Amino acid sequence: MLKTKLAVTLLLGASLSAQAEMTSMAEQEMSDVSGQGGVYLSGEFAINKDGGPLWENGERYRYTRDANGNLTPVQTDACDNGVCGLRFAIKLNESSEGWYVLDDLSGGFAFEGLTLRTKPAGEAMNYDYMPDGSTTYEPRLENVDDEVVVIGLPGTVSFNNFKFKYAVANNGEYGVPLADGTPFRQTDIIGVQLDGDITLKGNLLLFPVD
Amino acid sequence: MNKALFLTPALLAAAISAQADLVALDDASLSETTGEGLGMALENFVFNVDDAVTTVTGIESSDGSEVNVAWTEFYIMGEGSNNGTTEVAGQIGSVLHPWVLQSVRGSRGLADTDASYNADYLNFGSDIALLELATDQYDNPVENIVPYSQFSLYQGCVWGQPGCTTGAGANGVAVQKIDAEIAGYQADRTEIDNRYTNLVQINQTIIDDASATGYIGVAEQERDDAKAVSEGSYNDMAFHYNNTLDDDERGEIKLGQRADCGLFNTSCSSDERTYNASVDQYDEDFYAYVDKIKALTEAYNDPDRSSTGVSYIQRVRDIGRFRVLCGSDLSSSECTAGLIARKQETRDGIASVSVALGSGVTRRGGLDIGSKFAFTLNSTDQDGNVTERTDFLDIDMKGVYFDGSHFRLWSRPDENGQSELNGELSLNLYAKEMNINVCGEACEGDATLTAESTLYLDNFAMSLNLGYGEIQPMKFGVTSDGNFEFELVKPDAAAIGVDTSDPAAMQEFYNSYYENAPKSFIYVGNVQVGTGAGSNLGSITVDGLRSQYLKVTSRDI
Repeated sequence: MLKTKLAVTLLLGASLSAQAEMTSMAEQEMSDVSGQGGVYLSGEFAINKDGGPLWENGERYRYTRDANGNLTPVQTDACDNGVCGLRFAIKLNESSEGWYVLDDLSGGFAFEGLTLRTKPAGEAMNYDYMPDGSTTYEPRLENVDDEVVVIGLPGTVSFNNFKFKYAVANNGEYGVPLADGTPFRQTDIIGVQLDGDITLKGNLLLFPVD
Repeated sequence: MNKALFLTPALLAAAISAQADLVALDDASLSETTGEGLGMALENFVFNVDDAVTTVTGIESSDGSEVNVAWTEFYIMGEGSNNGTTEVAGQIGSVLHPWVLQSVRGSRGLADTDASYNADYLNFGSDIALLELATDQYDNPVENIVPYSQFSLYQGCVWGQPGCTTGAGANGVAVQKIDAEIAGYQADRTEIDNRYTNLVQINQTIIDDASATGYIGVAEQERDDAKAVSEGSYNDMAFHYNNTLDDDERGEIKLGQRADCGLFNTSCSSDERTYNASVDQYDEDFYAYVDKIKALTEAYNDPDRSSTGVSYIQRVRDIGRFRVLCGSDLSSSECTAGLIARKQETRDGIASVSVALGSGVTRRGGLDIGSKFAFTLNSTDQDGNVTERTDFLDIDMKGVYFDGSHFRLWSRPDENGQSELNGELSLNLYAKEMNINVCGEACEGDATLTAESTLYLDNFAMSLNLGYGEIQPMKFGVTSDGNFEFELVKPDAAAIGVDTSDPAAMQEFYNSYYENAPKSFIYVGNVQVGTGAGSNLGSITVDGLRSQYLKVTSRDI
């Protein structure tokens, strides 16, 4: 049910430099060209927007387990807004009895203008610079040649009925009792619903460190 | 499942670093890069949800109805945003001071010449790798959150704000204050030094005097013996009261009271007379016990009974105080550990910051972070009438820094041999101002009323340290009834290979634990409600917090 629509536009710069490379660039010039290109992304992610395949009518079952291990539905729980979202359960300890759950995750978000490119890191402040022979720090701007991956945040991200709950449960699968017959239990810690535009600006720089 | 979860960011890191390599790194750069971690920085960052409608569910009021929580404001931006109303770009880390996500090998058991050796990870076995998220780091004291926040607290104000632009320098306000504090500790130490010539010998006299043949040990034994006799007499008296007196006889007196047998001790039953005798015996034995307690107290405080000329209690107090001031090594005259050494270290950091700020150095900008919530819930008055009301909570933090923090995760088999997630958290937070307001609609558009109803916490510094490597990890679990469980286990010497049957090794382990395991603290330099005269409530200090054991379990109510 995960629907992903991505519009990917390669920047013109990338194709232009490729063309120039084929015709006239010397090897030295070629080696000087790096990270000029990039990717411009617009996208919309929708997760279980109309309900998932397991819980199509906006309700989830709770079961009992008989002596033969067969499950019988005994109760239905209604999901928020009549749409049951994705359930993601994690068991952090092999011997633990319980699961951490991101539950009822549904809705969508869309963005336009997320960019992905590489560039030299450029000037950055070194706050820990201490000149040779000195005992005091003298912060200074330094030019950093290393390439970094730059993810340009899109500016605005639009959320459309986006919701999730954080919960803890005694089984990863919703409503299913444990093998020994212990009924399914889940404690919802907090739920969040988000609708509208949020501002998300800036550049996320990613780079390897020693 | 846990392995899959944590492999994902690791793979991401690998993929991204690989991409950077492919694009531009030359051979020399490539050879310098070991790809151990992923550096991250957010430049010109602005996050604001004010245009979106966010609701929080899952919170119930006492009558069981759902509380509607509207999260109407949440922003993270640069300092100077005027409570998030002016978009100011913030910097979170930088290329030279990045946040780092890395997988690191533990260093316990490695030689310090080993390429993987790192003293920061000595509390982790070299047979495991841990995943670490660390915030930006600074050696420069002006930029480092710890010395800077300590400087601010001793200075008593936020440097650069109105009224706080002078008084720094090598002999500034903060330096003078901490010097005076250290001088007080030094005076305590000098007083102890003047009383004794050899603290190791003095400690030995404490042990000798408390031994079975020492005068304190003998007095303690006499007290314990008298206590046992007194308890035996009490039990005897209680036996007679409960088992030999009949209901009528018991109804006339309480346990410990004598039965009235008349002037000639003849107007009561033989059982009552036997009971009375047991009461007399108990009285006698109890007063004998009290006398022994008095004798012991006198022995504790009597300098004449000590070969040292100093009372036992004074020696115990002095040795304890010396250990606080100078550490557990009584033979050391250098005082290289303990409170004086730690305060001296703090003093050095404060002095560096004070000198730098006094010479005109300015600190990098911080972040502004804020959230506002509106809670709609039912309110029932004394006549049972239910009305809907809305409460507000608005938190704005200005000039926030997180540097020097880290969060580490690793896996170890538990007592059943099953893999278990362990963690360690060290969170440093410094905020120049933290303003909390609950006024809401009533103050809407009224800046004066808002200011008067705001709780101002200036110079807010917090260091929250949970966990100490494999010695004392945090553990996360979920109970069978679906509640989360968080546990900070007690310090475990066996986890780092200490022989727990060896008293000397265990003593050394605990000395090291108490000396090195990080403590938590919260300082608020200035607490103020409103802006009027007399609204200043002073400062708050919660210092030296360390959990030997902590367990938190949620309950579904």
